[in-house]
Amino acid sequence: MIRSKLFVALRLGVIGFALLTWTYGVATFSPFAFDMFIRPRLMPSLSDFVAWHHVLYWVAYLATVVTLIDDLRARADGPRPARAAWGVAIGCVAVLGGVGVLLMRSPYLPGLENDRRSLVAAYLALLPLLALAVLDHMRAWPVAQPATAAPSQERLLRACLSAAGFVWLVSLIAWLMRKPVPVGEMAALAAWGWSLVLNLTIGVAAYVALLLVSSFEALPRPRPAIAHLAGVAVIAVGVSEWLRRVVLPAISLDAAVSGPLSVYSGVVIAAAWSGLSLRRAVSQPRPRSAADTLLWTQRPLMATAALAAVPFALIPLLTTIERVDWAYVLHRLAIGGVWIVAIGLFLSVYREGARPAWRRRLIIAPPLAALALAWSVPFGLAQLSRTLGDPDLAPAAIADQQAPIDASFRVSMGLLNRASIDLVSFRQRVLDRATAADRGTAVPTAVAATASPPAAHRPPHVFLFVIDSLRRDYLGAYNPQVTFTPAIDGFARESYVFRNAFTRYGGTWLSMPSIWVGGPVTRRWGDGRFAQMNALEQFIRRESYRFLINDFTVAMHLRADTAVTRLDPTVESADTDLCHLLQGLGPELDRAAGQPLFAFMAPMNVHIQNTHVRGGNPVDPRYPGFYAPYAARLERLDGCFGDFVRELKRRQIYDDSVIIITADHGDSLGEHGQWGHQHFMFPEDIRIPLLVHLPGRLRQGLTTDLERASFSTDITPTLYALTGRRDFIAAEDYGAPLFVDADRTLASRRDGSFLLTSSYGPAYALLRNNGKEVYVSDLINGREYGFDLHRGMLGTEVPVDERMRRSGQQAIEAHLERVSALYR
Amino acid sequence: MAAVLAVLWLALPVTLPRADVHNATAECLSLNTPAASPDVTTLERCRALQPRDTQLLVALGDAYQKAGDDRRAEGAFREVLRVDPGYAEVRLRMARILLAGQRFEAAEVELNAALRVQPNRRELQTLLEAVHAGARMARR
Repeated sequence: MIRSKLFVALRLGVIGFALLTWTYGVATFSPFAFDMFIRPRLMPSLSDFVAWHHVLYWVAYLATVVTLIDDLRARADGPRPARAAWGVAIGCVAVLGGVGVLLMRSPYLPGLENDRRSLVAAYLALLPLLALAVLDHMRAWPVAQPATAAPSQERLLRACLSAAGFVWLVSLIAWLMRKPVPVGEMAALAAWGWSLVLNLTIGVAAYVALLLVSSFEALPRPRPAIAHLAGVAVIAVGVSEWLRRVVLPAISLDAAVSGPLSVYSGVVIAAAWSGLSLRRAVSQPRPRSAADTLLWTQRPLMATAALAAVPFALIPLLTTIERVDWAYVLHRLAIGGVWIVAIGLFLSVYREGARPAWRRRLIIAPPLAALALAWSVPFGLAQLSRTLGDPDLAPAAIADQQAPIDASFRVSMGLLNRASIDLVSFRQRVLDRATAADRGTAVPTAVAATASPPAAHRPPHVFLFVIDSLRRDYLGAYNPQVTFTPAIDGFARESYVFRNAFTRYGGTWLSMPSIWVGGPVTRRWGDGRFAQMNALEQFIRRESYRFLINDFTVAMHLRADTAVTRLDPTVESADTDLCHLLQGLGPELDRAAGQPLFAFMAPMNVHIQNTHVRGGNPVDPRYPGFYAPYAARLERLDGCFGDFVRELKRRQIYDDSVIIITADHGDSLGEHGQWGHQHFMFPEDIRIPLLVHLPGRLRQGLTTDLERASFSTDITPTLYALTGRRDFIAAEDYGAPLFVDADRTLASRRDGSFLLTSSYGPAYALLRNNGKEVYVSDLINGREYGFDLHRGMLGTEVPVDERMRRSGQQAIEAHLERVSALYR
Repeated sequence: MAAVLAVLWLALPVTLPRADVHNATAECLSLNTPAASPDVTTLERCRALQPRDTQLLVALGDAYQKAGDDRRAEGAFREVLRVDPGYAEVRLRMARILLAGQRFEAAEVELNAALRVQPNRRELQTLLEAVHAGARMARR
């Protein structure tokens, strides 16, 4: 007879294999996840799993067979239940073995693409678990004797509240072990106090769920079977809701798919867990309650040791997860797992004493107390904030600061802070439109098929610097507090400084191609249609530029017959350095007299990977009020740019060049407690610098509007217009030239609204009032924000009122519908 | 037990304190559409609800000018510039009003500010020349 521990270990391995296969199927089906994670093979271990899946399948198969040995040994002429189980076991072995043979002949997973087959694979991946769950219930149900009395309310309550305190304490220790960015003591105290209250609230909710399950055992005529089924139902609902509300929206899967998938997956996972729990219970010495069975309680000494070990395992895990996580999905999974494990362990530690009859007050009082606390804390904080005049104590500010550093706070807030019904339905409509756009097959372009005649004069050289993650408030040209960018500031005095510029997309993946297209792109932009939409490449070819590029997003999608010189081709993306790129440009300048140059550079000197992950001391007296690692790298970059400008002047090329400094997007450097630009659409992420130097011969007859909302997608149409080309046709949602003849004015952008989209998830910013009013809808976290950008580098956060919400959501939907129509 | 769970599920969710609902009428929400041509009374009512909406204030200023009330128009345009000092088009309108009122220095200030935002724009330069000419005439 196979030992219980070995059985459990092998089955967990099989479950893990099935879930990993499911994960790959789902990620491949999601257009967003496929383009972001799967196609670029961002996770080498996942790629290896896929490549070896047909072999690993056999490992899982053998593990399954070993766990079925006892079932296969059941006598064919034994009692009916055993014969039935034997039949199912034989069927499992045969069918799964046949699947294994088919996979060896034709491995399925590596051939999956972003289509329905991937979704089918995800569904099929869990079927073996369902079959095994059926078998487990057939074999173990009659044998796993249920308890004759329900667990006591006191034990359940103590276990749940202890688990809550434990998870909170581990989160606090994890925070103290890091080097926290200094916050006000009062705010920190309030934040961690609120976190404790939220954790206790979740603990009480878990207690109520356990009461529901155990209540069937507390009836005058106990119903242990129903208690067990109730427990399984709670697990199924919990897993389904977590998938539907947390995981699947994070990869932009629309409701039509995520709903059924979540329900199916939740049911299968709950059934598999139930079966495994029953099998384990068979080997336990005495009858157990449904809660004990499903939560795997064990001997108190072992449970105590396990509790002591949890922090040592969790804290390094959270640190590792932080580097690869997406929209905190893995964080939430880790904390959710710790919650469940902690409740089980504390149930093990608190032994059952005398079992008094259930009392009504222990059913009603804890939830009421939790309700009162959970409601009163944010209102109390709001009052305290108003009384003391300290905005850091406002609940929204505390939530923004605490969520990134306290995983249990984030999970608790996510569970408790339900989005309004309006926001849920809005999210569904938005995801549906975004998915429709991603799946569209049309090839929109704003460039005329036939090139207009070239201008009489020679086109100017073009040097286009799109500096990844460059923030405008870190340049002296925008922010007088900045003292570390003298070269760029000097360049700005000889250039046009567009003070109200925005990126159309919050991340490189979509922002870069949108600059080249001069308009909206979808997440499928790189699937072979890009050449027809790539207006900037067509411009370069039509003007016969000598083309130089350093870029890791668009460069691999240029036409094969486009003559191009790649700068620093062997340097890894995160290591691209403007200084080194400009050195490489030197020899190319020697040949500038013969043919006009077009140089496109996208260095990563101030990308979050270099400024925060690789880091440095955040505070430095040379950069007061600024994030020092970012400022220091920018200062170096500025020095190199200054040398470059002097070199252009020395060669008398400067006044024959269009030179543009901009960014694909900004970055969060701790504002709102966030770092980087995953899916953030705050002012620091969406505002960009845009500095344009024009040759003297072009400046004379042109005017512009430096305060008008301008976009990174205006750059390409501007270059067309500057060379006298009329090939770029004005169209709604596309960019427009930044300059017009001096006796005209630019079309106003004050009446309409403009949609900015996150590159990496369903988060949107809607600009109105010439970009001075911003409504942000973060559909990943179910949050919304309002900003007034009239004053200050980063504007002021304002409450989202009904007008802003209603008009913002309507406009977001309308914009998405237009983009979707472009691609249908 | 089911009742307790239902109460928890419906009542427990903690929502962060929301802003007071600021109910704008549907009329005010639609003012930015091209088809809208509101009168002064409507604009003044909406201004009370949306005091920092610069497009609303510009429309109000234009409506005042159309009704011959340059003083109120100037007030509305000044309000715009308090909110958005970079609104060059409004500075042009202000400059026209000031020029009509022979306030040449003030008009020159507005036009120079506008030219910093819209460098080289001929219409601004032409009006600035008119302001200088008017100032010279006034000095004689």
